[in-house]
Amino acid sequence: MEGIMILGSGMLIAIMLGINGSLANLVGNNMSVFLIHFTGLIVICLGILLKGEKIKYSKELPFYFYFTGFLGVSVVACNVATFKNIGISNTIALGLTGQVFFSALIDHFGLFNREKNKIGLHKIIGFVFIFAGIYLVV
Amino acid sequence: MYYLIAFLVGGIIIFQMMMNSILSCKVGKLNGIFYNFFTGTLLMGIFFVFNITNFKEGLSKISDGQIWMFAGGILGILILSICNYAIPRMTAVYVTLFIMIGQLVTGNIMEYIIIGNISMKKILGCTLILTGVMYDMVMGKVKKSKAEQYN
Repeated sequence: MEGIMILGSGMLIAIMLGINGSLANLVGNNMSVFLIHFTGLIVICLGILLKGEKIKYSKELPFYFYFTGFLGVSVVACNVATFKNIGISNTIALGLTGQVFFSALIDHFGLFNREKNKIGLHKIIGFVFIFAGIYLVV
Repeated sequence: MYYLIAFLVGGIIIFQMMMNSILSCKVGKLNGIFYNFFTGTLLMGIFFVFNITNFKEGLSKISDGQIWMFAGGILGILILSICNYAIPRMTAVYVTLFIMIGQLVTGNIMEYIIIGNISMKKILGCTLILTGVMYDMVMGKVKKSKAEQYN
């Protein structure tokens, strides 16, 4: 069930990238990133208001956990730089490879207090197929 | 150098998703998403106010845009809320792979609708990725991951 939800969110990401791309074409990269975060912020604030929630701060987590937005911005900034220098398909292929690699790392070592899921032979064989597929797609 | 950056960006994306899902578990779903957009807007807002990068040109063109172009942020919220729900319940690798498959398939469909044809290479590539995922899932007998401390 979660798999299907995640699949759906991947589909939404593709649509979102298309929409954001056309906004970036119109107003430029920096302005588009600002606008995307800004509209998102307004909508989520409305949601919080409508639900009558309060903005909470929990001291249980390290401070940097609250700055995931910085990471999102840096992703866009890095993508712009790499698009220009090594091309779109290289950027996408390496980015996807990085995603697979780092998520395998998280599972293997159980980072972020997650259950450990060691990399075995079956994973490596699966990854060979996946990387070959990524290579063909981009 | 840029090859390394492109590779590391993949890691940043994963770390961002993981951290935000943990944050959401702690401070509530809406709050978790709020912080993500808030800090993002904050950083871009600083750039904007000090005009570190050129915003003026873009500002004048906003009125030319159609309304659907501004829907990216709303979709972002939707995506984050789905991810924040599912990530603590799945292993990181499968989260990544499922997102990737959804993205690739939809990307190809969109390309087909807009351009009108689709290359054999891409279909073959997607099939290979699916094969890899299926092989891994069947052989590895996927266990659902529980980040219990955060639920």
